[in-house]
Amino acid sequence: MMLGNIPRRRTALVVGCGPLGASLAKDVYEHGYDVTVVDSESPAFRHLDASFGGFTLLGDATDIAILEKAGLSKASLVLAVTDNDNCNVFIAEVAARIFGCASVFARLDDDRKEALLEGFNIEVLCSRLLCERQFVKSIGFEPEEGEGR
Amino acid sequence: MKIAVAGGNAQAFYLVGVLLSEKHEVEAVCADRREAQHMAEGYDIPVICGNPTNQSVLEDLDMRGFDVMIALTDCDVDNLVICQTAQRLFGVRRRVCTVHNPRNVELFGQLGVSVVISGAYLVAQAIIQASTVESLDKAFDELSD
Repeated sequence: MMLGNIPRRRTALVVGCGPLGASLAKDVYEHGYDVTVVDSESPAFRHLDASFGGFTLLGDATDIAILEKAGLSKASLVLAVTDNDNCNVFIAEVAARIFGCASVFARLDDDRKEALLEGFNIEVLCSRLLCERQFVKSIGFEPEEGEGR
Repeated sequence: MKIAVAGGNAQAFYLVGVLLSEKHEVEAVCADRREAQHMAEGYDIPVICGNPTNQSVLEDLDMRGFDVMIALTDCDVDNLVICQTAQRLFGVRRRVCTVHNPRNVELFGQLGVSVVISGAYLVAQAIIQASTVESLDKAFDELSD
């Protein structure tokens, strides 16, 4: 256990700085993480809120060298939230399976790709499923038999 | 053997030709319509036009029963997803792909691709293994065979 007057900060890596990535980066930053956001296009960083005090890194996150530069080896939280499912699968698998990150999230637009990530301790974020769940909950339908989570 | 080839570039076209001449049963998936047409005109094999990283496209191919998946698209992460889909959802025994980034050779190997091939990686291995200029010359001679 680390003692002393400096608070122990955890490190998070957010890949993809679209509207979703930027919001999540802000949330994670506000919860005391050291955050680095990676995107391959510099205009994407405009999505970040002015209050965001983390780092940005311009680069292609499907290149392991960029992920390493962004601090993947010491990140305890990784969010792969680019708009490309295949990139997110790659980033999440490298984080969880090769670097052993404690907490890994992957955005998938095609939820059928979830099967690729099963068993690797990767949490899938799928907007279609989340919207559907929210709708079913809001309107008060009983969840159907066998409906996952 | 029953072999699926994903990707419609010159590499895929060449490889399909070699596989057929070696009497393998081949099917191809090309994402691009023009490439699919080129493949279908070139060879008498089933050709599917669609994104090979899309599970339903591979279902159309009926991947079950295939021995090998060879992913040759121009995008490394697409090739990874194609190989993983073949492995995890269709139980394809061997997965082979090419990569642009040489560092993906080891990474993809750890993530379940049986054979990962990068031109730069092969050249680098020859350079690393040859300790002198003379042996490097010899290594390049071997590569050119």
